[in-house]
Amino acid sequence: MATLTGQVERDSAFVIQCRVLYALILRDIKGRFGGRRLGFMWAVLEPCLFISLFVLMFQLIGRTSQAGIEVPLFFVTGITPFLMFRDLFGSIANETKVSSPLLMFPQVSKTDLIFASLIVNVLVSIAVFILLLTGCFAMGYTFIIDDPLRVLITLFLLVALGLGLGLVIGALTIRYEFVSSLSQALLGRPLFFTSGLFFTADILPPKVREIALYNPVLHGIESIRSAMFMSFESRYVDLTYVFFFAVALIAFGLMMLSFFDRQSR
Amino acid sequence: MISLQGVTKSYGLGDKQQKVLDNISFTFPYRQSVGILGPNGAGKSTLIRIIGGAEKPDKGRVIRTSRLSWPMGYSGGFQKTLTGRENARFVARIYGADYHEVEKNTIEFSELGKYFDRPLETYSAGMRSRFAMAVSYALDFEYYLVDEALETGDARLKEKFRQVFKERRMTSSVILVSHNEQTIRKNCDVAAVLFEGKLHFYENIDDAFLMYRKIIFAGRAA
Repeated sequence: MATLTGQVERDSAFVIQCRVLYALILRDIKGRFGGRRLGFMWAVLEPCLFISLFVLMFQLIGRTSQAGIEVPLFFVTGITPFLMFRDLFGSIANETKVSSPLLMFPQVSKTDLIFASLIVNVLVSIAVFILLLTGCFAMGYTFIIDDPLRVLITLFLLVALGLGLGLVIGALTIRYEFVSSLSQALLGRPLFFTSGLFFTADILPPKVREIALYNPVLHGIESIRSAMFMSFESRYVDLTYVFFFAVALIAFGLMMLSFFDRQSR
Repeated sequence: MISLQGVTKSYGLGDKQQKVLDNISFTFPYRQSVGILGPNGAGKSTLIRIIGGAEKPDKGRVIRTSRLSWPMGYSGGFQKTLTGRENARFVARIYGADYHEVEKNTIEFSELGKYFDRPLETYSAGMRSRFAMAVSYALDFEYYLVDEALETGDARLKEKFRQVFKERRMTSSVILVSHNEQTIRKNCDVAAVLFEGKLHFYENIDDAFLMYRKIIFAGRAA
């Protein structure tokens, strides 16, 4: 038998947390994508299917560009960031509401689980985004990224929105179970159609636009497209609004979580 | 050190709210085996979950500055789509232990052979609990958390694990909850009784049994 010495090194809380995060991330990636699992395939395939469908529809009505952006690129830059936001908010909500058996390990906390899930989701989404943009490039839809820093900032804000919304929904679900299904009906589908995946804010009638612009995700998508392409610049983007919206959601979510988590079950 | 400081936990809401743990302060002695006795429903599992950090107390806090195990033999934390080896490595990683050593020990204790490299979902129930127990023993902890309900395996393996447990008891601390006097007598040096939200500690195990029996009989009479 191997030597089991009683000697134990004390690690700082920070070192322990990094170790736990690393272990959780590896575990998550292996569980989802390892072996014969089709996790990554599906992560690429889902946006591909959506995008192909809408590109095909636009082709049938004879459109080759939308707001000065070639149709495939228009959808890649709309649908992929949106799916990142949607998947992130779903996973975070799930991680937040359940009492994971992993919590039985003394050094694993809910915060660790939420962070690990955030990191894995973002890594996968960014990989898919780059893959699809490369795919477009290879098919001859070339472009030069207009403002890479702004692309990153916008993606970061969308991640913050996803985290915040996930925390709020997840924390509320701990106490009020119906919130989970309600959020799907009231948030999932409607956001899909109102976040500018298929349109730009500019083509909306002014009255509709005014209301639509309360949706921070629409600002995000408009901002991504503006940052990506020189031929498009939205006049309606307000990233400060998105920032404060995200901060408010995260703060509210964390508050609810610390409140409901203690009194669960 | 593992220490509870004013730990309070209630379940239920409003009028039906029941205090399961009522302002418990207790420091678990180092290198001693503490048995916690309690009738069914006294809150033993809640106590274990709170000590291990799976649940937060409503009030008070738990100080953990020692290497504390998860409840021995608990397999819920493993990922079924991953192999035994990958799960063992995960545990080694979160504890910052050398994973070659953890793998080696797990193989030796679990006797899983080639199944060690197959996903947990292909294991039988018996194999799974054997694996969980083996990983629990593959690392060395300063404090072992034990919920007696988790004891499993055939007679020979049980004996093997019992032997390892005996050895570890000499060099580490144990926190064991049970409603069974025999289990406590065999494995513990001191004992406490969990009753009506309070933890009553006894240096002498027999004193603990005395109080425990009183509670049980009073419960039956009523």
